[in-house]
Amino acid sequence: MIFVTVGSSYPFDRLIRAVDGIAQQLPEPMFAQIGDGGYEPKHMPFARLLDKEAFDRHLREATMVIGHAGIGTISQVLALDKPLLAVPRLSELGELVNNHQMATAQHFEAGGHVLVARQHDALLPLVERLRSFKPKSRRVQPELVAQRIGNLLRSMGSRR
Amino acid sequence: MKICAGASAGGHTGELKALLKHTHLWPSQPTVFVTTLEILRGDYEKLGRTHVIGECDRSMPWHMVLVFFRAFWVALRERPDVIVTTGSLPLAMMCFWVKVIGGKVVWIDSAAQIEDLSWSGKIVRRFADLTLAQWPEVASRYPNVSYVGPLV
Repeated sequence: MIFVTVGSSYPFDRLIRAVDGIAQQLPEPMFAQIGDGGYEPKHMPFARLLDKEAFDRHLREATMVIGHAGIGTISQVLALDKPLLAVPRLSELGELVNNHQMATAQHFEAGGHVLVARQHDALLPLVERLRSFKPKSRRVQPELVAQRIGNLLRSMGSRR
Repeated sequence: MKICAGASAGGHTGELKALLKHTHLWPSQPTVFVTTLEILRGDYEKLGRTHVIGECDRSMPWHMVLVFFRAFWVALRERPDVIVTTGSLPLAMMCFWVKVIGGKVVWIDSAAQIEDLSWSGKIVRRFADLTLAQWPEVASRYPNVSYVGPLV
């Protein structure tokens, strides 16, 4: 199954329209989380917003993911070692307040973690490449962040 | 010590969740939670009392005003000793109010911001007690922003 997600904050009609346009040419079943978008796909089943449980289930069942280049989407897909085709939202199209998704996408692409679609009209060859793409895993250190915050909290506690 | 933890919907919440898996390293546990969309309420309520203050960004001035007042109300009602957040703008407003009522502020800028601090982060770092970036290059641009590692 190919899981398509625009994240949970904002709609991303350009992506959903583009994937819907190639859905019939792909052999895999598809499922899309389209958010609050105005465009409803005609060639793939979809939900507006999946709850966390359903979202995680779709992600686990997916063989490939096509999504916006949000850090939540990227990190969740990477944590499951699944191939992701990331499509950055662009501020000039009003899809985001700045172009940080393009920067994020390029960074994770350079690290071999994701594939990036810079143009939404060239998705098909990228989905073909995605089939054999093996993402490099990424090292995260949430425990170090928690430890640093813990130090601050302990210094507060001793003052009170 | 009353600890409030909060994050906007989307990647910010994923980052906060990654952090909350390690709060056993803290002297006390967060008991109050703040997020921005109703759909996330149930998920957060498994952790503790949850307030939903609504979503906004700086392209939505009217929403900004509304969220700013909701944040004030939550801060006033809960009076946390400290707020820990991974952003975004609605949670920056929470940070502002928590600081105003005398609490401490911990701001972790989103890993989505790989070139510079977020717009909110640039404001909050001026009054935060601890500001962390998730990229060393971002932290190195500011004297009072540290990097210890990425959450996600």
